Amino acid sequence: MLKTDHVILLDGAMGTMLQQSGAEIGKVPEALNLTDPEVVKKIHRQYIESGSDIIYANTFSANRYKLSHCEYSVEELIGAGVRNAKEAAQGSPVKVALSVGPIGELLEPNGNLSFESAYDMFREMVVCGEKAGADLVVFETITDLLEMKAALLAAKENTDLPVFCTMTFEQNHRTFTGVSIEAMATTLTSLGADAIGVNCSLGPKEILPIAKKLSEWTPLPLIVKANAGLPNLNSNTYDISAEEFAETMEEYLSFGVSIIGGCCGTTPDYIRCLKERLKGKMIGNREYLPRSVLCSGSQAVVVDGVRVIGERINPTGKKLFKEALLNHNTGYILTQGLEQVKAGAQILDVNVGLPEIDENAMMIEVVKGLQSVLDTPLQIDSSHASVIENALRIYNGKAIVNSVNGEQQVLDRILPVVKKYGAAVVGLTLDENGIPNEAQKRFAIAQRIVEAAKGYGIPKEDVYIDCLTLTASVQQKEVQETLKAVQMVKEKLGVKTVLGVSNISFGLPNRELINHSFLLLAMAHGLDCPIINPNIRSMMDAVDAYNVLYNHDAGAKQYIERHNTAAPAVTPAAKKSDMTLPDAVIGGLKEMAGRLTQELLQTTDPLEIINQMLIPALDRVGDDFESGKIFLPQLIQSATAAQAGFEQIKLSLSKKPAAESVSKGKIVLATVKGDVHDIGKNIVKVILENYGYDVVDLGKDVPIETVVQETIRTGAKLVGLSALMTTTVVSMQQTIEALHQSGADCKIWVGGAVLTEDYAMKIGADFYAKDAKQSADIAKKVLG
Amino acid sequence: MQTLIQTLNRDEILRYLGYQGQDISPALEDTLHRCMGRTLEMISPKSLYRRFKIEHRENGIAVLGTPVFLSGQDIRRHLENCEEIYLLCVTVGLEIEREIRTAMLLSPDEGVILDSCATTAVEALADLAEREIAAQCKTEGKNITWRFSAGYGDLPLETQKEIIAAMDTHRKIGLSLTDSLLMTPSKSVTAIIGVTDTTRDPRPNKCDYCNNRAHCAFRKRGTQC
Repeated sequence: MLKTDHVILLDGAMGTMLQQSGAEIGKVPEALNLTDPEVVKKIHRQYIESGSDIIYANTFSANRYKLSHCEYSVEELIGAGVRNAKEAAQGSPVKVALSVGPIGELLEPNGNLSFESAYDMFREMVVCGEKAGADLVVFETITDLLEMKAALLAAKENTDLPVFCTMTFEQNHRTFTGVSIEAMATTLTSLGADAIGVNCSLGPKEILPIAKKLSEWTPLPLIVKANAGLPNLNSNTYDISAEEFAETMEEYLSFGVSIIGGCCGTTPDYIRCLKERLKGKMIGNREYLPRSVLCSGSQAVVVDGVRVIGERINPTGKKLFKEALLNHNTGYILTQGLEQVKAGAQILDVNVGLPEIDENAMMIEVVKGLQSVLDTPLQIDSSHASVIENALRIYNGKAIVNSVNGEQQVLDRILPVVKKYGAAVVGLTLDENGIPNEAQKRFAIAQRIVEAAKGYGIPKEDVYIDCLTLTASVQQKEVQETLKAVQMVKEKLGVKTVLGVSNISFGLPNRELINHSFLLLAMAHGLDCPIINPNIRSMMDAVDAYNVLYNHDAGAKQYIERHNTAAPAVTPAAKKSDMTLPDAVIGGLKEMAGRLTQELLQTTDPLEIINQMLIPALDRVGDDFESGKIFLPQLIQSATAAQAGFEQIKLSLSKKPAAESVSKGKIVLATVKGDVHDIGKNIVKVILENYGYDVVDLGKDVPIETVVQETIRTGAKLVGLSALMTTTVVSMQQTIEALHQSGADCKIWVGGAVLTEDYAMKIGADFYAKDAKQSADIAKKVLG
Repeated sequence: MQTLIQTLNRDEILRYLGYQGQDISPALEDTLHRCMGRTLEMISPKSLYRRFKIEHRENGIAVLGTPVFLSGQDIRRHLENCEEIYLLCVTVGLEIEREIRTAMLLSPDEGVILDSCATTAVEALADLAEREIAAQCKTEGKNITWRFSAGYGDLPLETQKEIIAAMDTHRKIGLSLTDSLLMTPSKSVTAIIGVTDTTRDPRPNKCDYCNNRAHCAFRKRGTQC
């Protein structure tokens, strides 16, 4: 079906034709498949007569969510839809596609539909479609790459049908959820779609540059189903004729688009014109070049130069990070990600392995969380195949897996997962015999890994070899072997290289010097992706310098941009040495508060700083807020200033051997099931943390069971629940009931726009807080 | 960058933040301006409205040619003199929401200000669309009512689902609902606007229809949301 040397014609719009037919369209247009099959079949026949090679069954929105109030089931409407199309196509070579549109509800993090629920709804549709005899599946008009991934996996895991994937872009060349053309092409190509393309929203002229770019980013057959010009959203009309449509569509052939049809506003006339105009026309050559790309849903990173992988999301040797994992403090982990990206990391390594926690659940939560605030592609770092698979499944985009090595067992366990989810992979040059000392032997392992990957269908562009850094103070001789191996792998195997850099300096003074010196040498030997701490200035500086010296930064443009700034002037505030810590907190001066705390810690007991300075200052700020002397942003500025102080204290305590704690107690906080508004809850969290409480923040849309489990697990004596809408206060009540039934020994306080004191008591809460200040008062009452 | 909305009303933003004339330091003023600029950069305003004939029935209003039924006495009263309505749906998009999420982690003060900026932006967008509708009606010598939304008075929030489906907002402007009827993107507005022959602007106090009026923080401060 997918030879790309001649045009395959699709059909035109179904919806437009149904509206024109005058048929009574109720809430679900697919109901017509059963109530008025003739009208649907007639439309199919018209398209077939006009020259369509593939027609789309009238099944676009026949999913469980959209049919929730419909008297017909998914199976009935899809069965009837496919049968109608097949009957119309009977006796002709025309193929029937099961058309599947978006669920109609947004997936997390934009909405609260889970990946697995979306997968399940798509699974139901494709299974019914195959059973009814569809020849292929088309997922169309989808704007979220993660939703498309759920759909594609559902089709590939549950049917044998070929899969077409078309997404809908806006004039800014992004979808509504921000998906870029490069990210779409990279992800869907790696995941194994049979053809990809663009449909709906725009006309042929506007889609042209989008399709052109797509053709440069995928070797797959390309599909374009454009609207009949630009829509007038308010009148539902389109602005170009069938002739103009066909004329513009012809241009698409020149860069390799071979599967062509029409979307909204197009009719059999448009298909007829296309048929006539494209008859016998040749499909042009593609300008696709394979390259090493990683991406999120919105951002693609091409590894065609040095790309820094941030190493900080990893508990190894980091007391505060471990604490954050144990306390379920995802906010801390996400902040680590954001800070690294700000410092220049282009890819982030994510490792959350800790024996005391459920690594699977934590990895999923952190990957979802990072993808809700960052565009940066992620490197999934775990030694467990199941953790890797779970993370890759819900990852939006194309990730890289860290890692496999030369052991056959490891290769056979991990590579199939990498292939299935279309990821890239890091291969370590070690095997069951350990790390060879000689470069030649490490190269041999690298060669084995690249071959094994190829055997599993993973192209060499997706293999990144790590030649392993040894510690200079222990194996000084072998440092050069690593560098030699990097060079050999790069030159002879033609794959990308990665290297964790900072191990080199263990046991030596002035580690930074050794680290960035080694980094420079490694880049000079062909290192593409150093795994480093980007927050250390000298490391990023080394990358900038390398790019100038090796002519990767033309005209030293980026270098000059980053390094041409004079030393930052001393801010006036910094000169005021007479400012006290409470002043800084009350004034909302974050940096000053941090610095003053640091100074105080030299001479003053941490608890004294907290109880004599930070807390009283916060109390004063709280009173000022209550009396209307300051308003919300000022309250929060003071809270963040206090937080900077607390961070310094935590940092200094974490360096002491004994586990001294400054925590005033644990509090569980959640926005209840069904509710995605979490700004109020987040404000409360900021304030409570700055009073010294350990806040276990469960996030938004939190299942009732999770609140109960986490309350019991952490032994928190206080639970705060937030809900914004009258519709979600119901699940707040259910959460409270479940907490009571579980016997958890805790008090519960609630807050949210529609709640009142009376209502809070009625649904069984112990306290009601109208704002963050009152929340802090309640915490003080309950926990001291 | 979008050009539809070019400025944001500073007073509105402050009002959403609960401002009552407190001193604003130069640093806070700076943050405020930075957030306003950032919001204008990150929003992608999209609006959609269509005119429908309606039929008055005993327990509500049927929107003809669609399966939408607006039930309750409040909407009946609101559309008392109308034979036609506009359904209006607007959104400022998802990107600004990510920006707010990120800011809440890195600098929460900017997070809450951005949130208010985005609210101000979506209201400005709804005002803009409303003015277009008013202008259209004016050419016919007609006037419009103020914006009534699902969840006001006794018009059930569930109506949202029908409006969203009838307007095909998921496909056209990227607006959909969660299973608990929250709009995504959350900075979105849907509304019902009546077309009337009354020449006088028929705008009663919107608080009259609000179920939250008894304990509204805005009302206590003597303003409106």
